[in-house]
Amino acid sequence: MGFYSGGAVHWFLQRVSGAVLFVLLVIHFWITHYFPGGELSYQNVALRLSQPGWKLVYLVFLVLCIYHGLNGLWIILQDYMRNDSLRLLIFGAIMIAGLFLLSIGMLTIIPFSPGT
Amino acid sequence: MRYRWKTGFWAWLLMRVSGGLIVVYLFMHLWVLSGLSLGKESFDGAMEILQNPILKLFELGLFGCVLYHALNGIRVCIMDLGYLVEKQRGLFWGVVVVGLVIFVVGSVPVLMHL
Repeated sequence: MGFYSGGAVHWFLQRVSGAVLFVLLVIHFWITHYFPGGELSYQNVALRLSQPGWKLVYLVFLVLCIYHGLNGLWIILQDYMRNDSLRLLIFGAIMIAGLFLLSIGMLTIIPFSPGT
Repeated sequence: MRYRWKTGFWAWLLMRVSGGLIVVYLFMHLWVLSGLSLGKESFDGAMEILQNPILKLFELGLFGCVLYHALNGIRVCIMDLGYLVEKQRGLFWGVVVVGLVIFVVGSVPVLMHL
């Protein structure tokens, strides 16, 4: 069984994405809750979201948490599905959810400019 | 044959439960944030609604879930690399203690504003 065909790549990426998310989340939590003057207003968020550097960070954050979260969900659900058609259906639903979340995230982050 | 209802089991189960809850939150979070494209008034309005104390309590719940999931995740990574596997129980209690400390320290600012 190969690293990719056997599914071990997802086992591996779950850990890698988790580790990176750990760092990103510490930063995220600090900035949104403990950074002085950081009340959660459109103003404060817009300050970051208009900068290309932050847009990139948030895009990476978006991709990683969608992957980690939905992969995790799939892992859990797999233990409870023995029927092949059900597996395919649920996998499809998860993929669609992922594409949906990616879309709304990217459509929010990429074009964002304040003063709207 | 007996099932081992020990710390290892609870660590695993709490990982799934916290993970599942965080995913539910993720959907809501990304949905609310997509409202940023609707402009200042609408977003600030949404933020006002989210200041409701009951939701603040849920936020603390989220904080707890993320803390446990992240810290136990580190524990999983350490053991997956082959280290400290025989100390898995100690590592779990370490996770719980560190988690509780950070939780208490972190919740103080939130609770003060309630």
